[in-house]
Amino acid sequence: MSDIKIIGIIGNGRIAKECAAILMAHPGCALKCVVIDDSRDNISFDLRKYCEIGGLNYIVSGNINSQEVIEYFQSEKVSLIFSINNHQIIRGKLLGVPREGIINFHNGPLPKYGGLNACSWAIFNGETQHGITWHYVNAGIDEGDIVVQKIFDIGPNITALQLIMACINEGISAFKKVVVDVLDGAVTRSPQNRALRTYHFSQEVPSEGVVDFSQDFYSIDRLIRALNFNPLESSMRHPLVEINKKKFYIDKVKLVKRVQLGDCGEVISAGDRLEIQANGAILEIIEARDEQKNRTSIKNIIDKFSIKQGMKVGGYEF
Amino acid sequence: MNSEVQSAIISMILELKQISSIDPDQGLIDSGLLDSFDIINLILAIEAHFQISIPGEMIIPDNLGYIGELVKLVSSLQARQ
Repeated sequence: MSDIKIIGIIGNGRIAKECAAILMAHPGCALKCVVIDDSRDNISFDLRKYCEIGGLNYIVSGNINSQEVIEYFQSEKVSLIFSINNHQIIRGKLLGVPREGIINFHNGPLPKYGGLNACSWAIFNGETQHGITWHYVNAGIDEGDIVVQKIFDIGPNITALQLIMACINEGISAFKKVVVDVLDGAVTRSPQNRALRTYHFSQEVPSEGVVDFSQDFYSIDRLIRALNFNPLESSMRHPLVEINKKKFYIDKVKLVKRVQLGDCGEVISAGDRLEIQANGAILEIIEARDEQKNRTSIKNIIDKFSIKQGMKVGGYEF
Repeated sequence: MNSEVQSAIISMILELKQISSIDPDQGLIDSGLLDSFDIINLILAIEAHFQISIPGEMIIPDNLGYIGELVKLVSSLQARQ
């Protein structure tokens, strides 16, 4: 380790805060600039609070590629930037500002699951493992050389928010190695295999967010877990169904029995419990939301939508 | 203020943060005591304990910054039921 490296962060949330703390504690670097993008959600206050409490220099910017941000980094002669839970695309001039480049955190196992909502797509696709990647930023999106990657097992009942939180914890853990490698000048850059690349845009939603009871239980369950961000607001869509020409939303289902007693989508029971026939199995809707997307009891759903045994619960045509 | 709700919320925070005491007037977020993960875990614990659903749009720092604000939030949701 030789000269002290001047570091900058662009990001938000808990992972950015924890990584800032790791950098602050390391004698080989100086965290001089923090750019916070706080446009994403209501509770990503962590990095801002950390800066305020620790007296760390920061700015808030809705446009990280702005001249203001570029000059901010240039003024401190930042040599390396970490992009951590940053939801804006780094472009053009900013890419050339730090001499040693920009390293980004991605909550997916690149080259698979590039783009947005990696955790939801992994659950929807039935992956049994997921991963996080620290990688250099280049002119593409999530395409730069990999610095550190961690692959980990995911449980069969995990929800989107739970997987996001797991990725954050894995990302913080892996960041310690990233920092050591960077400061020791021992970074190994592994180019991504473009043939394995998969990518999702922000507008894409698994199955358009519509529950299709002609599918098997496991497909339905994966869709619902992929779109479950409870207790936070969904950043995608809530899983939607229609009955009596009204919409409601499903947060959680469970398998009742592998049997075909009716047509797919037929209400098998609407007493104390709401059971629906899927393809090859009956499932119970355990948690649901009304038309306004407010969480409510299953009893309320049954009463409000006048659901009776034998009725048909269908998908929804946008 | 609903003292039963307050004492239950204080117990949850003590357990969550593995601390032995807390000033009821202390800022939870401003002081750095709770981060966003803690907020999520606290909300889940509150929902389970009080059998309520806290709407996502109410999960904002203005409703969660102090124990008193959490008590108000829980009490108002209980009153709606």
